[in-house]
Amino acid sequence: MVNAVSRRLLKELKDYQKERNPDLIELSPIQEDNILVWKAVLRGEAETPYEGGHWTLRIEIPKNYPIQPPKMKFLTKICHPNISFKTGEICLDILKAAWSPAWTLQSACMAIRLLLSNPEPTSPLNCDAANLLRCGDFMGYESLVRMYTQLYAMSQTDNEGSA
Amino acid sequence: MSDSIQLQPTDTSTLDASTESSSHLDHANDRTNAYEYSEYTAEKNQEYLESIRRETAEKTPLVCPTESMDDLLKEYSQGSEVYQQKITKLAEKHHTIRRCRGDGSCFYRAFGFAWFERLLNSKDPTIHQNALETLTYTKNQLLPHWYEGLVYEDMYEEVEGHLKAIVEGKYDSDKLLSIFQDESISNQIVMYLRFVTTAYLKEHFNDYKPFLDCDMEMDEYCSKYVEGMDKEADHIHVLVLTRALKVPVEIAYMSGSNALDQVNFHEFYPEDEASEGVLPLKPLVLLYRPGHYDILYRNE
Repeated sequence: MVNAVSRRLLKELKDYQKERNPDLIELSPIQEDNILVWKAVLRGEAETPYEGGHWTLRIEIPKNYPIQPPKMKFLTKICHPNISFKTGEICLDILKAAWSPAWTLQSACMAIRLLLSNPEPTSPLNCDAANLLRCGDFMGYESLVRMYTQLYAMSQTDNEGSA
Repeated sequence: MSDSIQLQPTDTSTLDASTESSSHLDHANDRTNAYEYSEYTAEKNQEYLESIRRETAEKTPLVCPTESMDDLLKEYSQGSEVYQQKITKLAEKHHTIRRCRGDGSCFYRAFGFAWFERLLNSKDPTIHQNALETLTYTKNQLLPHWYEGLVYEDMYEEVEGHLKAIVEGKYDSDKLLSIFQDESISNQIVMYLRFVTTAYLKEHFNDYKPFLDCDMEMDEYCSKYVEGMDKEADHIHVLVLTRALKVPVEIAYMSGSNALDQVNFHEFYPEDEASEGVLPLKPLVLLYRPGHYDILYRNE
């Protein structure tokens, strides 16, 4: 007996595999026997300080998904005003109170990717990055982000910080 | 009598301020003991708010067995005279009430249950056929314009499966109640009704934009105020769902205002049918008290 959430997730997996998404290099359950924990790999957008980086995210799906949002966090270290440098927690309204069951795992990942180039420095989880933006030091901000991209997100092996 | 307090139908969002703030304090103390400040995250805050919500909501089944109008009256025995008077008046023409859980989805759940129950009790094959056709239309024509299939297909299958079983006479009223009390099934049905509402709103954007009462694009409005499972239904959502599914609804609006000595009824009839003066399906009757919907049963 396949329950509602498994049925939905299998459909999402099939949907992702059907058409390649160059910005989302990977999206699949981590282990075969647990459909409720997924891994995603985001590709940084060109012409942003995230260009060339690959970030791994861990996705935990609640049993009443898609009524409740999935819990998503970065495993690869990333420097961004709305993402905790230490824990990888993401501050994005659609993953919290503004979640709608019309989202899918793939569209939620793409929303996170969009957040990378559209930071919201007024609600920071990374104050150092946010402060650079808030005082208008864009050059400083970009070099900081680029440095961390090179340091953590560009090596061949997966840099999966603290899980 | 302590039961009557528990049964007070309140959406969690309209929780009594004193209850909320006191439990808030309890939890705040727990938290100081349990975690270091540095471990406190927005995610934990969200989980905690969710747990309060659930605790309050789960005291009432998603859809309850019926109760007499006297039971409803008793709820106000210590309270407002205006309400007592209005309920007495309402009881002249309505014999029974069925409560729904105040979890933000009460309108959709009450609508869904009352609709299915009407179809269960109807022996008219045209009514059954019309209901199935309208439902198929929402899946084949209405929703695909606005959502990708995988978002709503499972929910549609759930709704269609039960509707067919009802039409084929496979369900009785106990079975119907058990379906709506099953959290997973019940919520799938509610979600489908929410998607029908949003798709119809988007489809008729120009007609409804002036009612929105906010300067927002329809997509943003729908994802903020309709799609989410805890978003309560407004007048406009009732209007839209009624039209999209061609199901007439009458709502008894009960407020504490003493301007009227009886409950005010609002009629929501699908356009074409109202103009012809014929309603193949008898209107569903819902009772609205500020922030909450239940189902009413009218005397034959």
